[in-house]
Amino acid sequence: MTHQTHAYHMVNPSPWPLTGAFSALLLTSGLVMWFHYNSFTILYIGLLTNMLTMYQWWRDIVREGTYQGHHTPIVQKGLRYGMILFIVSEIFFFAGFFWAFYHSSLVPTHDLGGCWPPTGITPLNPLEVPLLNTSVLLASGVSITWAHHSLMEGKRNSMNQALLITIILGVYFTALQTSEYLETSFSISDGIYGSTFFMATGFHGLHVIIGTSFLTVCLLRQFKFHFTSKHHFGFEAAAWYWHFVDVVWLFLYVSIYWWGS
Amino acid sequence: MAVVLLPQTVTGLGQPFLQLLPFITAGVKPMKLISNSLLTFTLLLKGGHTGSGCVKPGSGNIYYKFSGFTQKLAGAWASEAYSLQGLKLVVSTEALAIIFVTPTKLTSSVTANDYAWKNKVLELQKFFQKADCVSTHLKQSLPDQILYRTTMTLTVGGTIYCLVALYMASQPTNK
Repeated sequence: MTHQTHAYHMVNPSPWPLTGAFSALLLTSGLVMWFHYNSFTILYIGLLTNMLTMYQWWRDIVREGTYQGHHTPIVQKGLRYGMILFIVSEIFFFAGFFWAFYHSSLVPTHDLGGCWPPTGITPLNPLEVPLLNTSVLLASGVSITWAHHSLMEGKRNSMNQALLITIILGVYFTALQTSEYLETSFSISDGIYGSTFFMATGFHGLHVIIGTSFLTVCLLRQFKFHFTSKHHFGFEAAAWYWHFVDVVWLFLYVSIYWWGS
Repeated sequence: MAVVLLPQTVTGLGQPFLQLLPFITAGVKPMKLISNSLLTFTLLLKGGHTGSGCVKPGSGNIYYKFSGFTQKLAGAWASEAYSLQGLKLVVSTEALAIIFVTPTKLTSSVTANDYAWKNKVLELQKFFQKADCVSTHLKQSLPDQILYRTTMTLTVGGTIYCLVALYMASQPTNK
């Protein structure tokens, strides 16, 4: 480290953006090779390099923040802006799928029977497992808030328990949704209903898995005493992401499961 | 939002030339402060040139601070280097412990909820702050090197393989 007359973080040169970019090339090309030539090699290499990049990049951020103290308040402010902008981009990502759903369902074409759900489609009962899923995610929103308050008050045991409960609820949601996917009488190739249903709920499920993974990393860091009562941005970022996932589900439930049935 | 701020002085560990970093503790002359200020840091500037080295002997101290809201550089007395603006001074070592664990739990026996994890953050902070001119991603020498080399080999090798495969796939077929 050399002269620094400011509170910003001048990061050491890192190879991970490069390996991340190349892993994206391998992932996309790997998908092409899988779809067209039934070959998995490049895809596997891409997945592996992607996982390795993510692990090492985020490990380095933990080193820089928790061990080297680079995350000053102004640096943290930048990290907050970054996370907020990322979540906004994800909101726009889902907006596309909701647009597609409403475009097709508000004015159903005559080849669907002029109705929504289309003729021949038996939608899932919104008052059964989907309602349970809703309560599971809402409860997880409560438990993560409990975890945050426990952390801020220095109550270690409460924090550990609440975060663990949140993760368990996230896993429970994923398990329930998987079983629902196996239960549906329609598939992704069953017209526009199947496409919009599985694209929207499928990407949401992926985000639940991502959010659960993020929370799990937070739990491991919490076990290792990384978080203090005043400085725990990693956990706050995970909590924001988790609330975002919860809100998307609420929109999905109301639009696709309830109104759309 | 707040962090514990700690000014550093020259030590046998070879502290960085310019210490601005707030961090939980240094193994060096720890002062236990809990900050409620977002705005102010105190800078300890050593005389001399930085060059590219990571360990520098110091001669003469100049103290600066960032003024309140505007963050402009302003002169500061040495006493201010150890008394940050807007901060509450907490001198007991127990205060630091509170940040990591609830005090009542420290003296109790390990419970089922403890999971037998030990707080190694202080040691790790000393380890990762060694001014040995090694980048963060390689600081742990052998494990980091192995992981880095594996990742880079797979990435470069995979990319070459991918480009060859794409080249072959782009050749016209004989149909």
